[in-house]
Amino acid sequence: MDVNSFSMAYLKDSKIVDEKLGTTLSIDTIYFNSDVMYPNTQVIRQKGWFIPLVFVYIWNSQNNCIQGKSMIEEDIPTFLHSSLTEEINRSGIFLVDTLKNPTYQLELSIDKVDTQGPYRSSGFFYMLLYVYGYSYSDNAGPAVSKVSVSYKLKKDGEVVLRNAFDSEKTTQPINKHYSNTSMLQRDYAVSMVEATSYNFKDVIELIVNDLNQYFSNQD
Amino acid sequence: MQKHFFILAGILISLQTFARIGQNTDYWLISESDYIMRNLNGKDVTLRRHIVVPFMDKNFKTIFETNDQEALLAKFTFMLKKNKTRWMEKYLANCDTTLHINNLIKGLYYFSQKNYSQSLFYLNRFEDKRYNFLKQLLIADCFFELLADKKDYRLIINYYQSALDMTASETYKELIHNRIKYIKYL
Repeated sequence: MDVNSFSMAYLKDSKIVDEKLGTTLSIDTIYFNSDVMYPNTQVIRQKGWFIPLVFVYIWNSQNNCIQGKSMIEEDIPTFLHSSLTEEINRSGIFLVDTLKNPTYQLELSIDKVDTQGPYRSSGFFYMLLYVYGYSYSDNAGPAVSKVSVSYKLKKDGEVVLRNAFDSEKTTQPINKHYSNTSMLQRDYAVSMVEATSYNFKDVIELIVNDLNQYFSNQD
Repeated sequence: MQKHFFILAGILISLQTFARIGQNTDYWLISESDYIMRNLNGKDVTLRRHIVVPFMDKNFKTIFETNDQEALLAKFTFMLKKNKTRWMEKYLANCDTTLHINNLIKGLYYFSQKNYSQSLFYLNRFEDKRYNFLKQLLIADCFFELLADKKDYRLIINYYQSALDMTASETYKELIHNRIKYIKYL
């Protein structure tokens, strides 16, 4: 699949918290194992057939499309760091502070970023003396996207809280009529990145809520 | 021959009447009640970029008889919707520049002309809490249109974020989310 990269940028719609506690934390480390994702998007053939008759050729193939890092414009740990910082400053009852010596340190690990879905191609070609004709069509989706992020909250080097959150999102099937397959592939890639972005947004909100709950109990 | 000329002229005139926001066919100008109805009736609000104004008043010819800012906006947006060029130009040439609403009106007018820099100039001069959301949405759309490469929309996403944060209405929040969806699939 020949696609460009697309941005995971999203709009935040969580409730803005204006009154903050004095608590500050720093986001120290974000682990992202390179095995979590393929570097490039993969299209793996699952099944397919080709019938070469004398005058008619018919084909059909079913593939699995797996999102690679190359489909995403942003560097994933950097995106998580900046999105989490913005979300904490928006809906957290605490603040991110990197300048002074914050009381708490947050360590994150991106355990899973998996987005994949079907991509099907079928068509036929016929030829009879001077007459020939052909038809082909591709269709894609829906893809399923899963993201898992775990974190450890540390105080003076000691882990005081740890948790992990998952999010799953299915993309909308693409029912639009496409005159060329590259447009279909482009929209399919956009929908996959959109679903991954949604999952990151979801997980980030869950982490901030969890930390809010912890810090409000500490107060 | 004469008959064909009149038919062609009729088609051209009606094309202008059905323009979406003045001469700008990339956006749809709609009143709030019509937008809510479209949404409720399941009509597509995702694949169109709507500019939602509080009201539209079809009695636009009385625009010179009032100083009420809400009424002026309602009458002018109706003219804009119907692309009444002569009336709009006449109003803009004679309007009271001390009335704040005329900055929003001029912002909308230049937006309809696809003159986004000029539109931004007037929108930035406009201050009225009642129209904060409309103003911020138009500003975000102007910045988006001024992008050299539309794929770089993440550079201006914060303007849409500001618009979203200015409203408590779920309908308007959905409108902003749909805008981002539209931009992503553009």
